[in-house]
Amino acid sequence: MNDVAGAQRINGEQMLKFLRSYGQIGVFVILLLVLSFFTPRMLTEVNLVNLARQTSIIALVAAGQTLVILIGSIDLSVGAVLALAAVVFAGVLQDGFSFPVALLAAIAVGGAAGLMNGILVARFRLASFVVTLAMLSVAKGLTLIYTGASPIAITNPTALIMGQDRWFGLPAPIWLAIAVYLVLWVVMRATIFGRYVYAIGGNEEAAVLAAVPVVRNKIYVFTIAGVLTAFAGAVLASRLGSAVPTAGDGMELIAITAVVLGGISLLGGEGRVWATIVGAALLNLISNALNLLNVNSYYQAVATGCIVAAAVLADRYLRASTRR
Amino acid sequence: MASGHPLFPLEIEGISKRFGAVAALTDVSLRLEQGICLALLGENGAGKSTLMRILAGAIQPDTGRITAAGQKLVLPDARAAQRAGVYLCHQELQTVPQMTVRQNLELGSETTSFGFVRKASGLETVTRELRSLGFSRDLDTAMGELSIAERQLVLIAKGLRDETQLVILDEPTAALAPAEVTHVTALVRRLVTAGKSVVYISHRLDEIGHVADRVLVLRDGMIVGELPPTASEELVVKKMVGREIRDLYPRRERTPGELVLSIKDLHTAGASGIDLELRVGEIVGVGGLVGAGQKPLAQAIYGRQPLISGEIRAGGDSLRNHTVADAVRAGIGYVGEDRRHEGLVLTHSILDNITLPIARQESFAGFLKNRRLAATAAELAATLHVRSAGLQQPAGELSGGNQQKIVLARALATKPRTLILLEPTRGVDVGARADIYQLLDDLTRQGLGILLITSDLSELLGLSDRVVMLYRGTVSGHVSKSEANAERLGALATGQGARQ
Repeated sequence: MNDVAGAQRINGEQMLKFLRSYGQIGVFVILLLVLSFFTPRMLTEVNLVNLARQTSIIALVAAGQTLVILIGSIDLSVGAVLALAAVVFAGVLQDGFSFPVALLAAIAVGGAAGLMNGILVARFRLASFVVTLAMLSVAKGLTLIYTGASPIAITNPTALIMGQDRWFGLPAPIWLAIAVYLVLWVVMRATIFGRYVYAIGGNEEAAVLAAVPVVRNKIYVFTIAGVLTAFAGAVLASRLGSAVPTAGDGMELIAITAVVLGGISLLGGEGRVWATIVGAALLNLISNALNLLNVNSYYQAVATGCIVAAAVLADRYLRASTRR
Repeated sequence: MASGHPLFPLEIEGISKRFGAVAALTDVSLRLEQGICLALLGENGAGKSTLMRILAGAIQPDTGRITAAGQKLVLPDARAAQRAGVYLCHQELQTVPQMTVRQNLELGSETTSFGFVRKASGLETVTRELRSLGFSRDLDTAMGELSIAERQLVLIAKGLRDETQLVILDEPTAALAPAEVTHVTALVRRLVTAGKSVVYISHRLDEIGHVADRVLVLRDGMIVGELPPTASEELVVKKMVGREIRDLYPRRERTPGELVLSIKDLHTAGASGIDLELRVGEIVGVGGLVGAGQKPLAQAIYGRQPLISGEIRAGGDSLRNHTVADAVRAGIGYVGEDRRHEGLVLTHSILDNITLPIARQESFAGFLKNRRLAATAAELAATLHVRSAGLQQPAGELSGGNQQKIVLARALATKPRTLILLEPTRGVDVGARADIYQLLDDLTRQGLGILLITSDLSELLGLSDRVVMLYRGTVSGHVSKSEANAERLGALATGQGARQ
């Protein structure tokens, strides 16, 4: 092969690699510009802040899912655990306890659910799909038992801060999401836990043979996912001013969609944590635009599904062409 | 439908194929007539399998074309190849163990009406031929209950179906005992007399003489010449390797030192009653047919598979109910047989792969000491002559030989005294092989004992100071370097000639 062709091929490969790593951001920006052309209200401050706030809630919910997907598993119990944590949060507040106690209680519930998932998946080697499907049912049932299927209002003013206040001009959930992702980013990049998560997802057998404590780290991942989900539930309840037992319905699919749209491989081991924020933003942007365009919500669901499929298809193509 | 269209003469013209940075095939051309058996020889990674997978439609060539009886033949997928009359019998026995022999024979070419499977016609010939070779199983037996040899026969017999014109056999005898090999070669000759052509890939030079009409040798993705089927082994090997094979193995005397690993009466699932000793400065080879207990033995030592009973002592520690982490702590390193499955995280960088087992030591409060890790990885990569675009290059982009060096580097990162290697040069090109052999020799001088588990007889003979042969999960013989030769090891591998 001559040098010019070789150089071009390498440039082409680098381009594809770049697209694979940062393509979603490009898609997001282009989509934003195109949509703003059709809907003048898109680029108004109100709409953008609104968009960011919705994105932050989804991003919080999808943070745990990201870790779980990075180890090559899946967590279907996200929505149900989120609702359970939210009602526990509101219920403990209603019983007269202070905000920190309520938050800790919610996180403990979420962490326990995640720990259970983790033990069953890692220690007893059950499929995460089935384990978390069972957890979904259990958590959903517990939520209904706890609430009698009616919402619990939050009246404690301190508890409403993290959902409803503005800090430095932006809604608090946005800052909370940023904080969570900053921590996750550092953890995944610089700590041994992060290294192990990628190794387990990339090739579990290789990780076992390299003396990586696979079982323990998988349990950590599911537990952390439970904690993050519970935190998201508390933030959501705080934002809405009440915990609704059905608040988490379908949330697991939204979380998985955000992760996938962010370009994180469902096979595990590949993808960056921040990509989930971009995925969540993309997902929101699509529904936001369809709203502004007055598209019937039934059609919106169809459109979202098609867009997700197209995104995954593009991702697969880019992945296949950057690897042999 | 290309069905019924004559396939021969089949011409392959100027086929090239690259995988990432590796040229698997470069400008390969060959012509294949009807009713002959063409043997394709070449080392691991020479491109034999790639060429055959192109013929079977499994992968697409980058350049070049294939013509059948003068017409261009396009094989976009396996189904198209099947319709054109090409049948590829894979190296790994690709059967569905839960399905019956009959269903496996039909698989992929079921006769259907309106989507319902009908009882297939045309299986009679296949069955008759199988029976004539002493295959006595009922066709409704589950495939999984058959022995490896029987499964192999069934898979080859699939090629007897009327539509098939070309049968490609990729190392059909790799896992078989000599008596079973004769069944396979007999079946291959039947195929040829039935007017079909066979491409026969094998490492066993002796059987090529019995089965082939033509012999082609591939080296580094190119056809380097045609030999008569009666060519001497030296000549064939020279053609395959491109030089005298003696150069490949370091020929220096080694002097065994202190004991680093001793195994007494080890029992584990798949291996039993194993006694073994390994000293610093020596390479002990473990040989046997595929599945004779090599892998269970290695995994039991490394803590990947539980012991039933027995004693393992390594570096002063007694290992029992131990985990992989315990084995590593006792100074055992392990390189698995399949580097894609057991060795590498392909999407990760060279750096991350090499330092995975030492990440825990080289961290503070959970945070990785990246500079220390990079230094260790750079040092190991340099020692092992890893050729790469830098430590950040993903392992998946490297050639087989370089990937294997990464796996070795990873095992060495924990500073082991015992190194267990399974098939360390499978799918590795000759240059990298010589590098790896040299490295293993150097390691023995640096105070390591090496347990070399390989099914490559020449490797076993060329590297080992002593050889332990396994047969059906037990030791069938200990052979010293001076007594070791192909016949003796072959006999022990098939359970004959065990010492009284």
